[in-house]
Amino acid sequence: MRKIINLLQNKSNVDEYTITEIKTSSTELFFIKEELQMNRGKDIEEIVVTVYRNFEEDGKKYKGSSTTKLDPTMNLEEMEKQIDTASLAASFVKNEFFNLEQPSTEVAPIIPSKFGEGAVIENISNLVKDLYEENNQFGSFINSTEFFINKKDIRFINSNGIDVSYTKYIGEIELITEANGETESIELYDVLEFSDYVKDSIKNAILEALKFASLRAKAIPMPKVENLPVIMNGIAAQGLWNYYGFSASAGNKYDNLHNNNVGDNIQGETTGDKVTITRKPYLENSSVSQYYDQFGTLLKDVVMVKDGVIENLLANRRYADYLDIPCTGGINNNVVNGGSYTEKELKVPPYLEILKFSAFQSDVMTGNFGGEFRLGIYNDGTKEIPVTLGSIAANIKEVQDKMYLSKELAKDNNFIGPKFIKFDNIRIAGN
Amino acid sequence: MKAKLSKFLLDNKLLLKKLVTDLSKEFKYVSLLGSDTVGTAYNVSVTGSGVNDSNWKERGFVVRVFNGVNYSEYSFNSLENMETIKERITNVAVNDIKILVDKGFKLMEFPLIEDENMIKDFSSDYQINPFEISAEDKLKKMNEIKALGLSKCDQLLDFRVSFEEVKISKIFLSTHKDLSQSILYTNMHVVAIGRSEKGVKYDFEGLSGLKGYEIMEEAISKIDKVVNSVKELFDSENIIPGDYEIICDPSVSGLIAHEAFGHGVEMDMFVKNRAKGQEYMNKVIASDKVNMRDGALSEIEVGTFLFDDEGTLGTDTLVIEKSILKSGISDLLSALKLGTTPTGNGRRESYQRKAYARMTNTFFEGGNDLLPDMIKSIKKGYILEGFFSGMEDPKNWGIQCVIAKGREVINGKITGKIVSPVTLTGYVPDLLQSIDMVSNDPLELGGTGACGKGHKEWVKTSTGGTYIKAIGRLS
Repeated sequence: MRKIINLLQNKSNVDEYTITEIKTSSTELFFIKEELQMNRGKDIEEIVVTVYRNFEEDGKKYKGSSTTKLDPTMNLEEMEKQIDTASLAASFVKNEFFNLEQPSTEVAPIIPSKFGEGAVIENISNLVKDLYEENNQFGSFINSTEFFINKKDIRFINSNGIDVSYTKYIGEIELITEANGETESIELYDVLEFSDYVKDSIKNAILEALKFASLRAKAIPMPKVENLPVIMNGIAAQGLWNYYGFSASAGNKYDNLHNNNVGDNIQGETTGDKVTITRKPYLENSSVSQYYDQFGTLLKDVVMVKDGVIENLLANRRYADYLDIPCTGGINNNVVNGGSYTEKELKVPPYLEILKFSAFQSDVMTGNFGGEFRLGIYNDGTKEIPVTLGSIAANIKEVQDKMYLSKELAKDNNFIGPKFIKFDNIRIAGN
Repeated sequence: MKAKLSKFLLDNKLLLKKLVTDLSKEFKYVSLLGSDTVGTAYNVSVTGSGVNDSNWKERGFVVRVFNGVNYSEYSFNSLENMETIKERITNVAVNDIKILVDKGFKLMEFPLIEDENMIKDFSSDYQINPFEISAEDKLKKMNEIKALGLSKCDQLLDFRVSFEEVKISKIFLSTHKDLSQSILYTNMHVVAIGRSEKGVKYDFEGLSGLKGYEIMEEAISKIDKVVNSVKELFDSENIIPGDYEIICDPSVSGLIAHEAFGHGVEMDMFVKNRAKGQEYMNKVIASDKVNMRDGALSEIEVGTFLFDDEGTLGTDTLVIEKSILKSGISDLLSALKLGTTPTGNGRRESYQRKAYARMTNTFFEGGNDLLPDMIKSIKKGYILEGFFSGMEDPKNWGIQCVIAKGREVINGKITGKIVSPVTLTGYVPDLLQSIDMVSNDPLELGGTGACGKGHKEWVKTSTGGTYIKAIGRLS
């Protein structure tokens, strides 16, 4: 690292720089049913350098940049050549000037993880054991799984003197559950992401997956219905909230994709629940928790939207300078406040409750959302019928005035939000 | 011009061969995949520009060894201490396996890979080396395209242009194999973003191929199409959900071939009993108008290569022949387990990831129908144009294809009404068996994006076809 810093400091064609060094070690296990199909290990070192060129044209200041990755197998000459190429490219990139982040005297807390204790092979074995202990329930079983524990040692340096290091763990389980229906067997796909060893979290996830697989095995194709309220599972539809993140993004404002400002009501008048969203650098057991963003900004909690009104535009160092607004940094954890209805109050028949989408679609630019669902519960007023092979479609700008949120909250990795989201006026395609 | 293999891989080949030889003393099968991929991504927009490394850039290695029962792998990207690398491989393949067995884990048994003697290399062709064109010239050309796009419509907020050049160099070494390949491809996107009183609308056109800087001129021909598309989207309406006669343009045909069906014949899913396709082998799965292919050698696009990431030579697989499901596509380990022949579809996101059975160039073959006749035959339906995304469901064959727009056709005539967004859903066999016309247009393939397996493991693939007519559920 010292060699790279010296190289960058002595180059006349590099005005400023950032360096991110990431050392990743992983242990990975792949199972089919209960048998180990393959095991893998990984040790990778990556050094990502961004070089900046500052220049003026017609009295206006500009900053060009180019990001390049240096490999540990490169010698100094190769690194220098690559930095020169990036520097030359940066000189043709004509972006508005901004200041790189300055060092802070404040020290970020350590991100806790039990994965830091003991051998990784022991830790990953515990995950496998916890998951498979719950196998074969509700008429469902585990088809296949993949387990990953990644340890990342990260160091961020910039030419203004920031030099911070931290360690984080990223755990991941790909989980396929299966159940036999009357005519065919079905499966459900889940990905669990986490940063800490939380036994109950793994147990709850596998139990829910097995229950949902059992329901899908009994599901019938969604019938054609009209004017039926839709209740979406808050985890399955968490992408819905991306629209508000887009609408409060300083980068998107700078790119003229919206013209929202602090104090603007982006939800409009509503007879439903008002939206409040906070971004948090640290959320317990979140794999994307980190206290520094790509510019080295030390991150704090930021209320993004409060009661439908923008409280803060989300701006990294670059866009904060462009728009002359406070720098929030890029924050990855999303916390949406609960609403004013209990689950019981929302689930007034008849309704369609969607538990699993194939892939929930949320087009933040247009506001369109929806998708095909793999599992839902159709309550026709007399009984609950598991359904599949249907789809919903709506535009958040058209339906957010009547959006009802549960008081109950659910958590999934980097997201906490209402467990149920209800709309009265969504298009449903059935069979 | 021919793409050249990385000097780094050539310079270190002897060292890597020695690693394979040394490890072969301890393990009955050893292979090494070395990757040195370089690339740069350029973008321009109204508010700025960027020149950064391509996300596909990588330099590193993955070793696979037979651990006595099945296979273990180790990925690394430093050659500083070969003894440490050997120790880590032994740790993964011997020590970790012993710990897992001691804990009561069962190992799935796999046969030993029987390697055949093979020395081969491949270099892709291109006209103009993009790496020899300066960043300044590329950005200048892209800014010209941007300006031309913006000049076409006052309501455009932005006209974004992106260009990516990637040169893949790979070597595969085992006791008996010595393979190398160098493949150069380029991608471009032109994205028009506009605003009307109905809100923001956007569309994009993509270009791709095993080609060089010559792709930049092709992008100019896409400007009018993408701008006109956004103008049409300004006046688009919501679709009334229901079953309609549909004509899919080549991009949507390709999406259906890929998402609705291709994932369902990836044979690692057969090993897991996760694919419905397994039940349909040698049975009718589609209408007799349908022929579908996948393979590194099926067409020349971004899914083309000499050998896959397990050292199996690429092939051309006829997946569906006149309605009958004839073959799946397979990685090496799945073929070993199933007792079938690998089809050269074992692909990795990078040297850092596991290999899975993955698609390459996937498409419906052209038919004998004329597009005007296909339109005339529609009583009430839509021509589906462009796509944003798709999601597979190989076990239960549900479909989700998010389409950019639908062009209404009533009684054989295009009405001018546009619906957007459109999601095509339903049951794969119903859709494939409803295909009653396939156009005789030239085959069109596109490979600008990347394909995931589940929600991860992204690889470059191309998809396409000609126009197909079917019945589809739209919402």
